[in-house]
Amino acid sequence: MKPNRTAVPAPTRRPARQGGTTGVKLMLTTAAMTATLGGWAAIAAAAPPAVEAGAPPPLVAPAPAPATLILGLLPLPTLVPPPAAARPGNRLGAATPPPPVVVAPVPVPAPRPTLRVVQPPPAARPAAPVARTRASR
Amino acid sequence: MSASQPANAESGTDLRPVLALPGLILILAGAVAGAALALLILPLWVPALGRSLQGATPRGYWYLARSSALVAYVLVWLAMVLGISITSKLARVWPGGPTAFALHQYTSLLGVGFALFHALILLGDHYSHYTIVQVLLPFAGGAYRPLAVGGGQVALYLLAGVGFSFYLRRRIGVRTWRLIHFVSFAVYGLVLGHAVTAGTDSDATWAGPFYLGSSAILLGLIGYRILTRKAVPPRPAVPARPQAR
Repeated sequence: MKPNRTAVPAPTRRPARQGGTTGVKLMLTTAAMTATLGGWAAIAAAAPPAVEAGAPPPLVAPAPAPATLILGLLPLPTLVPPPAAARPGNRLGAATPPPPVVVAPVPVPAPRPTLRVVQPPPAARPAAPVARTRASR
Repeated sequence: MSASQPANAESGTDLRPVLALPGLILILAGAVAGAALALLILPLWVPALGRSLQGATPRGYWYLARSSALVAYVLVWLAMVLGISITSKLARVWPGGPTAFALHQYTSLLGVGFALFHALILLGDHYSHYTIVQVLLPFAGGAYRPLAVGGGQVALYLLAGVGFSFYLRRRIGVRTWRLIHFVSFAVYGLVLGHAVTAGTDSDATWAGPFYLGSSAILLGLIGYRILTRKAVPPRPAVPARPQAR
Protein backbone atom coordinates (compact mmCIF):
# COMPACT_ATOMS: atom_id res chain seq x y z
CA MET A 1 0.00 0.00 0.00
CA LYS A 2 1.33 3.38 -0.97
CA PRO A 3 1.77 5.95 1.77
CA ASN A 4 -0.47 8.95 1.58
CA ARG A 5 1.82 11.81 0.44
CA THR A 6 -0.68 14.50 1.25
CA ALA A 7 -0.59 13.61 4.93
CA VAL A 8 3.04 14.74 5.26
CA PRO A 9 3.04 18.24 6.75
CA ALA A 10 4.82 20.88 4.74
CA PRO A 11 7.82 22.50 6.41
CA THR A 12 6.58 25.65 8.06
CA ARG A 13 8.59 28.76 8.54
CA ARG A 14 9.39 29.52 12.12
CA PRO A 15 7.86 32.75 13.33
CA ALA A 16 10.22 35.57 14.15
CA ARG A 17 11.37 35.50 17.73
CA GLN A 18 9.80 38.30 19.71
CA GLY A 19 12.05 37.96 22.72
CA GLY A 20 9.28 37.10 25.16
CA THR A 21 8.13 40.67 25.61
CA THR A 22 4.55 40.01 26.68
CA GLY A 23 5.27 40.74 30.31
CA VAL A 24 7.22 43.88 29.48
CA LYS A 25 4.41 45.10 27.23
CA LEU A 26 1.92 44.43 30.00
CA MET A 27 4.04 46.36 32.46
CA LEU A 28 4.50 49.22 29.98
CA THR A 29 0.77 49.52 29.43
CA THR A 30 0.05 49.37 33.15
CA ALA A 31 2.73 51.94 33.89
CA ALA A 32 1.40 54.28 31.20
CA MET A 33 -2.16 54.05 32.51
CA THR A 34 -1.02 54.47 36.11
CA ALA A 35 1.05 57.49 35.14
CA THR A 36 -1.94 59.03 33.39
CA LEU A 37 -4.16 58.55 36.43
CA GLY A 38 -1.42 59.71 38.76
CA GLY A 39 -0.80 62.79 36.66
CA TRP A 40 -4.50 63.57 36.71
CA ALA A 41 -4.57 63.24 40.49
CA ALA A 42 -1.41 65.31 40.91
CA ILE A 43 -2.70 68.13 38.71
CA ALA A 44 -6.05 68.07 40.49
CA ALA A 45 -4.38 68.16 43.89
CA ALA A 46 -2.15 71.06 42.91
CA ALA A 47 -4.93 73.09 41.29
CA PRO A 48 -6.78 75.74 43.31
CA PRO A 49 -10.39 74.96 44.20
CA ALA A 50 -12.88 75.75 41.50
CA VAL A 51 -14.96 78.91 41.91
CA GLU A 52 -18.55 78.22 40.95
CA ALA A 53 -20.93 80.82 39.56
CA GLY A 54 -22.41 82.95 42.31
CA ALA A 55 -19.78 82.03 44.81
CA PRO A 56 -17.80 84.85 46.43
CA PRO A 57 -14.38 85.46 44.95
CA PRO A 58 -11.38 84.07 46.76
CA LEU A 59 -10.04 86.23 49.53
CA VAL A 60 -6.48 85.95 48.37
CA ALA A 61 -5.50 89.16 46.61
CA PRO A 62 -3.54 88.81 43.37
CA ALA A 63 0.15 89.42 43.61
CA PRO A 64 1.09 92.90 42.41
CA ALA A 65 3.11 93.05 39.25
CA PRO A 66 6.62 94.35 39.73
CA ALA A 67 6.81 98.00 38.84
CA THR A 68 9.33 98.46 36.07
CA LEU A 69 10.10 101.01 33.44
CA ILE A 70 8.67 100.61 29.96
CA LEU A 71 11.86 99.12 28.63
CA GLY A 72 12.01 96.79 31.54
CA LEU A 73 15.62 97.60 32.17
CA LEU A 74 15.54 99.33 35.51
CA PRO A 75 13.21 98.48 38.34
CA LEU A 76 11.29 101.32 39.84
CA PRO A 77 11.45 101.74 43.60
CA THR A 78 8.65 99.89 45.26
CA LEU A 79 5.92 102.16 46.55
CA VAL A 80 5.22 101.29 50.15
CA PRO A 81 2.13 102.93 51.64
CA PRO A 82 2.61 104.61 54.98
CA PRO A 83 1.58 102.35 57.81
CA ALA A 84 -0.66 105.00 59.34
CA ALA A 85 -2.89 105.03 56.24
CA ALA A 86 -3.82 101.41 56.80
CA ARG A 87 -5.15 102.05 60.23
CA PRO A 88 -8.93 101.94 60.57
CA GLY A 89 -9.24 105.38 62.02
CA ASN A 90 -7.22 107.10 59.34
CA ARG A 91 -8.96 105.87 56.13
CA LEU A 92 -10.61 109.17 55.34
CA GLY A 93 -7.85 111.39 56.59
CA ALA A 94 -5.07 113.04 54.74
CA ALA A 95 -2.66 111.08 52.65
CA THR A 96 0.20 112.14 54.81
CA PRO A 97 0.55 110.45 58.12
CA PRO A 98 0.07 112.56 61.24
CA PRO A 99 3.20 114.02 62.71
CA PRO A 100 4.70 111.95 65.45
CA VAL A 101 3.97 113.05 68.96
CA VAL A 102 7.14 114.31 70.60
CA VAL A 103 7.22 113.43 74.25
CA ALA A 104 9.25 115.75 76.41
CA PRO A 105 11.71 114.02 78.69
CA VAL A 106 10.46 113.77 82.24
CA PRO A 107 12.99 115.06 84.79
CA VAL A 108 14.20 112.30 86.99
CA PRO A 109 14.57 113.33 90.65
CA ALA A 110 17.93 112.92 92.20
CA PRO A 111 18.32 109.90 94.43
CA ARG A 112 17.81 110.68 98.07
CA PRO A 113 20.39 109.65 100.61
CA THR A 114 19.44 106.38 102.23
CA LEU A 115 19.12 106.15 105.98
CA ARG A 116 20.83 103.31 107.69
CA VAL A 117 18.56 101.84 110.33
CA VAL A 118 20.30 99.80 112.97
CA GLN A 119 18.01 97.05 114.10
CA PRO A 120 18.39 95.36 117.45
CA PRO A 121 19.44 91.71 117.42
CA PRO A 122 16.50 89.30 117.47
CA ALA A 123 15.61 87.91 120.85
CA ALA A 124 16.22 84.25 121.44
CA ARG A 125 13.04 82.36 120.91
CA PRO A 126 12.08 79.52 123.23
CA ALA A 127 12.67 76.04 121.94
CA ALA A 128 9.67 74.24 120.51
CA PRO A 129 8.24 71.44 122.62
CA VAL A 130 9.39 68.27 120.96
CA ALA A 131 7.02 65.95 122.73
CA ARG A 132 4.02 67.95 121.55
CA THR A 133 4.95 67.84 117.88
CA ARG A 134 5.56 64.13 117.97
CA ALA A 135 2.24 63.57 119.66
CA SER A 136 0.40 65.62 117.10
CA ARG A 137 1.40 63.28 114.27
CA MET B 1 -2.47 17.86 13.13
CA SER B 2 -2.42 14.15 13.31
CA ALA B 3 -5.26 12.15 14.68
CA SER B 4 -3.22 10.99 17.66
CA GLN B 5 -2.72 14.46 19.14
CA PRO B 6 -6.32 15.09 20.23
CA ALA B 7 -6.32 11.69 21.84
CA ASN B 8 -3.15 12.58 23.75
CA ALA B 9 -4.58 15.93 24.73
CA GLU B 10 -7.75 14.34 25.99
CA SER B 11 -5.82 11.81 27.98
CA GLY B 12 -3.66 14.55 29.46
CA THR B 13 -0.31 13.12 28.43
CA ASP B 14 0.53 15.92 25.95
CA LEU B 15 -0.76 18.94 27.86
CA ARG B 16 1.66 21.75 28.51
CA PRO B 17 1.11 24.77 30.74
CA VAL B 18 0.14 27.88 28.83
CA LEU B 19 2.62 29.99 30.78
CA ALA B 20 6.06 29.04 31.99
CA LEU B 21 6.51 29.01 35.74
CA PRO B 22 8.88 32.04 35.94
CA GLY B 23 6.50 34.11 33.85
CA LEU B 24 3.57 33.06 36.00
CA ILE B 25 5.45 33.99 39.17
CA LEU B 26 6.39 37.36 37.64
CA ILE B 27 2.79 38.14 36.71
CA LEU B 28 1.48 37.09 40.13
CA ALA B 29 4.13 39.17 41.89
CA GLY B 30 3.25 42.13 39.69
CA ALA B 31 -0.43 41.72 40.49
CA VAL B 32 0.27 41.59 44.24
CA ALA B 33 2.57 44.61 44.05
CA GLY B 34 0.02 46.51 41.98
CA ALA B 35 -2.75 45.75 44.44
CA ALA B 36 -0.60 46.86 47.36
CA LEU B 37 0.34 50.03 45.52
CA ALA B 38 -3.31 50.70 44.74
CA LEU B 39 -4.21 50.28 48.41
CA LEU B 40 -1.60 52.86 49.32
CA ILE B 41 -2.18 55.33 46.50
CA LEU B 42 -5.91 55.26 45.87
CA PRO B 43 -6.93 56.86 49.19
CA LEU B 44 -4.60 59.73 48.31
CA TRP B 45 -5.76 60.05 44.72
CA VAL B 46 -9.49 59.52 44.91
CA PRO B 47 -10.42 62.77 46.75
CA ALA B 48 -8.55 64.92 44.23
CA LEU B 49 -9.99 62.97 41.31
CA GLY B 50 -13.48 63.29 42.73
CA ARG B 51 -13.12 67.04 43.27
CA SER B 52 -11.99 67.52 39.67
CA LEU B 53 -15.16 65.86 38.40
CA GLN B 54 -17.54 67.98 40.47
CA GLY B 55 -19.15 71.25 39.56
CA ALA B 56 -20.88 72.59 36.49
CA THR B 57 -17.64 72.65 34.48
CA PRO B 58 -15.57 69.72 35.68
CA ARG B 59 -11.87 70.12 35.05
CA GLY B 60 -11.13 66.41 35.11
CA TYR B 61 -11.17 66.12 31.33
CA TRP B 62 -8.63 68.90 31.01
CA TYR B 63 -6.37 67.36 33.65
CA LEU B 64 -6.65 63.97 31.99
CA ALA B 65 -5.75 65.49 28.62
CA ARG B 66 -2.63 67.03 30.14
CA SER B 67 -1.46 63.89 31.90
CA SER B 68 -2.13 61.64 28.90
CA ALA B 69 -0.23 64.08 26.70
CA LEU B 70 2.86 63.72 28.86
CA VAL B 71 2.57 59.94 28.80
CA ALA B 72 2.18 59.99 25.02
CA TYR B 73 5.30 62.13 24.74
CA VAL B 74 7.26 59.67 26.87
CA LEU B 75 6.04 56.75 24.76
CA VAL B 76 6.97 58.48 21.49
CA TRP B 77 10.38 59.31 22.94
CA LEU B 78 10.84 55.71 24.08
CA ALA B 79 9.90 54.44 20.63
CA MET B 80 12.46 56.78 19.09
CA VAL B 81 15.16 55.71 21.54
CA LEU B 82 14.48 52.03 20.89
CA GLY B 83 14.40 52.54 17.13
CA ILE B 84 17.73 54.35 17.03
CA SER B 85 19.27 51.83 19.39
CA ILE B 86 18.22 49.10 16.96
CA THR B 87 19.77 50.76 13.94
CA SER B 88 22.92 51.71 15.82
CA LYS B 89 23.31 48.12 17.11
CA LEU B 90 23.18 49.37 20.69
CA ALA B 91 20.13 47.21 21.28
CA ARG B 92 22.28 44.11 20.84
CA VAL B 93 23.99 44.98 24.10
CA TRP B 94 20.68 45.46 25.89
CA PRO B 95 17.86 44.40 25.71
CA GLY B 96 18.55 42.38 22.55
CA GLY B 97 17.55 42.95 18.96
CA PRO B 98 14.22 41.10 18.79
CA THR B 99 13.11 42.41 22.17
CA ALA B 100 14.00 45.98 21.24
CA PHE B 101 12.17 45.66 17.91
CA ALA B 102 9.04 44.29 19.56
CA LEU B 103 9.08 47.02 22.20
CA HIS B 104 9.82 49.70 19.59
CA GLN B 105 6.77 48.68 17.61
CA TYR B 106 4.60 48.37 20.71
CA THR B 107 5.59 51.70 22.26
CA SER B 108 4.94 53.56 19.03
CA LEU B 109 1.45 52.07 18.74
CA LEU B 110 0.81 52.71 22.43
CA GLY B 111 1.93 56.29 21.86
CA VAL B 112 -0.61 56.59 19.05
CA GLY B 113 -3.29 55.34 21.41
CA PHE B 114 -2.41 57.76 24.18
CA ALA B 115 -2.07 60.67 21.76
CA LEU B 116 -5.51 59.89 20.34
CA PHE B 117 -6.90 59.70 23.87
CA HIS B 118 -5.25 63.05 24.66
CA ALA B 119 -7.02 64.61 21.70
CA LEU B 120 -10.43 63.01 22.15
CA ILE B 121 -10.70 63.61 25.88
CA LEU B 122 -10.69 67.34 25.13
CA LEU B 123 -14.20 66.93 23.77
CA GLY B 124 -15.42 66.54 27.33
CA ASP B 125 -13.87 69.80 28.49
CA HIS B 126 -16.54 72.48 28.48
CA TYR B 127 -14.05 75.30 28.86
CA SER B 128 -12.09 74.78 25.63
CA HIS B 129 -15.23 74.01 23.57
CA TYR B 130 -13.53 71.80 21.01
CA THR B 131 -15.69 70.09 18.45
CA ILE B 132 -14.93 66.75 16.86
CA VAL B 133 -13.98 68.49 13.61
CA GLN B 134 -11.61 70.84 15.40
CA VAL B 135 -10.01 67.92 17.20
CA LEU B 136 -9.56 65.66 14.19
CA LEU B 137 -8.89 68.18 11.43
CA PRO B 138 -5.49 69.91 11.66
CA PHE B 139 -5.58 73.71 11.82
CA ALA B 140 -9.37 73.61 11.79
CA GLY B 141 -9.76 76.36 14.30
CA GLY B 142 -9.92 76.68 17.99
CA ALA B 143 -9.02 79.75 19.93
CA TYR B 144 -6.12 78.26 21.86
CA ARG B 145 -2.81 78.62 19.96
CA PRO B 146 -4.03 77.17 16.63
CA LEU B 147 -0.58 76.79 15.10
CA ALA B 148 0.86 74.83 18.02
CA VAL B 149 -2.26 72.68 18.31
CA GLY B 150 -2.27 72.06 14.55
CA GLY B 151 1.32 70.87 14.72
CA GLY B 152 0.32 68.33 17.31
CA GLN B 153 -2.55 67.14 15.15
CA VAL B 154 -0.26 66.66 12.16
CA ALA B 155 2.17 64.79 14.41
CA LEU B 156 -0.59 62.44 15.50
CA TYR B 157 -1.46 61.47 11.92
CA LEU B 158 2.18 61.05 10.94
CA LEU B 159 2.83 58.97 14.04
CA ALA B 160 -0.13 56.76 13.20
CA GLY B 161 1.18 56.34 9.66
CA VAL B 162 4.64 55.35 10.86
CA GLY B 163 3.26 53.08 13.57
CA PHE B 164 0.88 51.18 11.35
CA SER B 165 3.45 50.84 8.59
CA PHE B 166 4.76 47.85 10.54
CA TYR B 167 1.77 45.93 9.26
CA LEU B 168 2.41 46.93 5.66
CA ARG B 169 6.11 46.18 5.57
CA ARG B 170 5.79 43.09 3.40
CA ARG B 171 3.53 44.84 0.95
CA ILE B 172 5.41 48.09 0.58
CA GLY B 173 8.89 46.62 0.90
CA VAL B 174 11.63 47.24 3.40
CA ARG B 175 13.07 50.20 1.47
CA THR B 176 9.80 52.14 1.43
CA TRP B 177 9.17 51.16 5.02
CA ARG B 178 12.51 52.61 6.03
CA LEU B 179 11.85 55.78 4.10
CA ILE B 180 8.55 56.14 5.95
CA HIS B 181 10.45 55.67 9.18
CA PHE B 182 12.48 58.80 8.50
CA VAL B 183 9.24 60.73 9.05
CA SER B 184 9.47 59.77 12.72
CA PHE B 185 12.18 62.42 13.24
CA ALA B 186 9.76 65.07 12.03
CA VAL B 187 7.10 63.51 14.25
CA TYR B 188 9.27 63.89 17.31
CA GLY B 189 10.08 67.49 16.41
CA LEU B 190 6.41 68.31 15.97
CA VAL B 191 5.47 66.55 19.21
CA LEU B 192 8.18 68.42 21.11
CA GLY B 193 7.14 71.75 19.60
CA HIS B 194 3.50 71.05 20.38
CA ALA B 195 4.35 70.11 23.96
CA VAL B 196 6.51 73.17 24.61
CA THR B 197 4.40 75.79 22.88
CA ALA B 198 0.90 74.51 23.59
CA GLY B 199 1.42 72.62 26.83
CA THR B 200 -0.01 74.18 29.95
CA ASP B 201 2.68 72.55 32.05
CA SER B 202 5.60 73.79 29.98
CA ASP B 203 6.01 76.71 32.41
CA ALA B 204 6.49 74.35 35.34
CA THR B 205 9.90 74.05 36.91
CA TRP B 206 10.29 70.41 35.96
CA ALA B 207 9.22 70.89 32.34
CA GLY B 208 12.41 72.52 31.10
CA PRO B 209 14.80 69.84 32.38
CA PHE B 210 12.34 67.14 31.31
CA TYR B 211 12.11 68.24 27.69
CA LEU B 212 15.75 69.27 27.48
CA GLY B 213 17.02 66.04 29.01
CA SER B 214 14.90 63.76 26.86
CA SER B 215 15.82 65.64 23.70
CA ALA B 216 19.51 65.61 24.63
CA ILE B 217 19.47 61.83 25.11
CA LEU B 218 17.81 61.39 21.74
CA LEU B 219 20.21 63.75 20.01
CA GLY B 220 23.13 61.89 21.57
CA LEU B 221 21.83 58.59 20.24
CA ILE B 222 21.30 60.09 16.78
CA GLY B 223 24.85 61.43 16.84
CA TYR B 224 26.18 58.03 17.83
CA ARG B 225 24.17 56.46 15.03
CA ILE B 226 25.61 58.86 12.46
CA LEU B 227 29.15 58.37 13.71
CA THR B 228 28.93 54.59 13.72
CA ARG B 229 27.37 54.60 10.27
CA LYS B 230 30.32 56.50 8.86
CA ALA B 231 32.78 54.20 10.57
CA VAL B 232 31.36 51.04 8.95
CA PRO B 233 33.19 50.24 5.70
CA PRO B 234 31.01 49.76 2.67
CA ARG B 235 30.01 46.24 1.87
CA PRO B 236 31.70 44.58 -1.07
CA ALA B 237 29.51 44.08 -4.04
CA VAL B 238 27.94 40.65 -4.07
CA PRO B 239 28.29 38.96 -7.41
CA ALA B 240 25.00 38.10 -9.00
CA ARG B 241 24.08 34.48 -8.72
CA PRO B 242 23.54 32.57 -11.89
CA GLN B 243 19.89 31.94 -12.27
CA ALA B 244 18.89 28.36 -11.72
CA ARG B 245 17.20 26.76 -14.58
